[in-house]
Amino acid sequence: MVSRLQAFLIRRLLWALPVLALVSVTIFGLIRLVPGDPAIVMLGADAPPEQLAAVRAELGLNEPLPVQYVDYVTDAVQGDLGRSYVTDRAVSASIASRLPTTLFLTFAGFLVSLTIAIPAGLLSATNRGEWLDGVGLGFGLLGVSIPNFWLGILLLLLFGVNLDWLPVAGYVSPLADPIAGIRYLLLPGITLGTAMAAVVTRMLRSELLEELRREYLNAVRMKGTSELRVFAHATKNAFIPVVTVIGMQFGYLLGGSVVIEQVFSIPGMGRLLIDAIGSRDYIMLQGVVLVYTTFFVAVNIVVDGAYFYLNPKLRGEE
Amino acid sequence: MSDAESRTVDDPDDGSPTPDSPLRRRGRSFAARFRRNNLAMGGLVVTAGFLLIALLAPVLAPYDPTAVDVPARLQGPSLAHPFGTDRYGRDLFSRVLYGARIALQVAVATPLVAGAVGVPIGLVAGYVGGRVDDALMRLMDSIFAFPAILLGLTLVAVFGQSLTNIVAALGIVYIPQFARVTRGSAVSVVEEEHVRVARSLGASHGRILLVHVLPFCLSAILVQATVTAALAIVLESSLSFLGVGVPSPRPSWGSILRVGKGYVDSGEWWYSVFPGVAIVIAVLGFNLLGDGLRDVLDPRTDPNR
Repeated sequence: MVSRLQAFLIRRLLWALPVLALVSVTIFGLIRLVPGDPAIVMLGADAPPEQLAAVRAELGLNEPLPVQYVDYVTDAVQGDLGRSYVTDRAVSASIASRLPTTLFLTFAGFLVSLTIAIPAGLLSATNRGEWLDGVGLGFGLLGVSIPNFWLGILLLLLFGVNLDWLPVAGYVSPLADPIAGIRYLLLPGITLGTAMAAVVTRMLRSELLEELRREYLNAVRMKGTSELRVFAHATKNAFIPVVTVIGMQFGYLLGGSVVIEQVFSIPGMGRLLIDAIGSRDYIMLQGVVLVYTTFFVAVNIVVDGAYFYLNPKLRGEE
Repeated sequence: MSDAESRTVDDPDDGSPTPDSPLRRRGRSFAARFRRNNLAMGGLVVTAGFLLIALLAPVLAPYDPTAVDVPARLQGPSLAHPFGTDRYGRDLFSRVLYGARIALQVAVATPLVAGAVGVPIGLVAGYVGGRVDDALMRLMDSIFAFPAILLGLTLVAVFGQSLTNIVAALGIVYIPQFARVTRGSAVSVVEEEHVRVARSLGASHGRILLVHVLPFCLSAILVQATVTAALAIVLESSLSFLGVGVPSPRPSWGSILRVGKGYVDSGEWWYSVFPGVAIVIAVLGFNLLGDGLRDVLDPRTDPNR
């Protein structure tokens, strides 16, 4: 027998297929929408004819569009994202070498944000209307109003330049050297995580406030349960919708890392993307965007699964 | 008239006869609730200030924002240059003031573009329901499957850098939110009595949507528009920071920061600080206004929160 969670996940996976298909059509279509001959746009009109021909062949521009699309998808599924004519490397190899960096950065941001948001949200809700709540609310509002790249620049100015405590640019893999790796990831992680911390704080506060007003808590109290246990009950339920937001934020962190990599000169996928845009390397561009999006969709599936698992109303009986 | 004004809004449903139409009464109650809401008023003041600065930039700015004065390059804040000067000796205060104009254009145009497409989609999805609803919302979800910055980057990279293209790209990015919010309101409005009455009286679908459904979705759309304005300012400045924003020499806050970042190590802090403060204030204004409007327009929130 398939459990309800499994059935749900299977449905959700099948559901992701059309989304990914649409995404791939969009990326594919956008590159072909570039006004003029893409090969000339990419290389310039005075490029040698044999180079232009090579790019046309790489993009399959001589084939009819549907054939091009099928070729592109067949290759992509097999992990072949084409070859960049700027770096003359396989796109998938370039991405594979940059992906861990971006994932480490994203994860650092994730850790930072939950470390801030969970205590801040709980304290804000339990001290409603008092100064601590004010601090939490203020943080929630400021955090979503400060662009992350500017926060990064401020942190660089303060900790990197004025106090000279932490490195201002670059990256060391935490796997190669854990201490140096963490030193390099600290400022980018804080920068990336703050906005998400603000969103989660706001959300957790309002969900918990709502939950604390519910009738069922009185029933729990009537059993003689301590206030702490009552609070634990409410918190557990308040977290159900928050988990969705946390998961969705993970995807946005992935997007935000593009900018943060630029601020802290971290050689991740974001830099690859920006460089590809700068050099009009559309083959690289479509590969990188496809990988980002696939991660984003995958994260969403995991989040939905977690939501389903946590929510007793959906989980129900076997 | 004075009789109507003296009635407090705390008690809008006191049942006493009034010469006003229900809509006007609701409008006045909205204004009064708005005035008592600190968030909303704070947001309104900041946003109005931002609007004034953007409109009056040519009057307020002491210098031409593009006037180069190389001997005066990279000077710190002084009386002559309150925000210092940039690498070409241009006055940063004037550039920040003019930057408000780009931010304002983005903040106004983006919600309009996103709403113009997203609201009809949401209305139709919520009204028709069933398969059409599913299909439209799936389509919205797949746009939503792109992180905003990534979608913005890709669109601008493909279509080229110009203010129009950036606004179009930002507009596309935020279509799904408008569609979702509108659909959410429309679904519940469609079930209401007045819509059923209109339908049984033979009103056309278009008329029902426009006259009987849309007006009841407006408050949610308004809140969304305010939030989108804030998001759009942040996203435009991020794109400009990455070098794919409004092309120079037009002073966008993000592109000033892009150059200023290069002078962080060498101590020219003013280059990176003041444009960022401007972004934060503008965005904060719209966020405050959005939060305030949400409280004011949502009858369930208690006024003391």
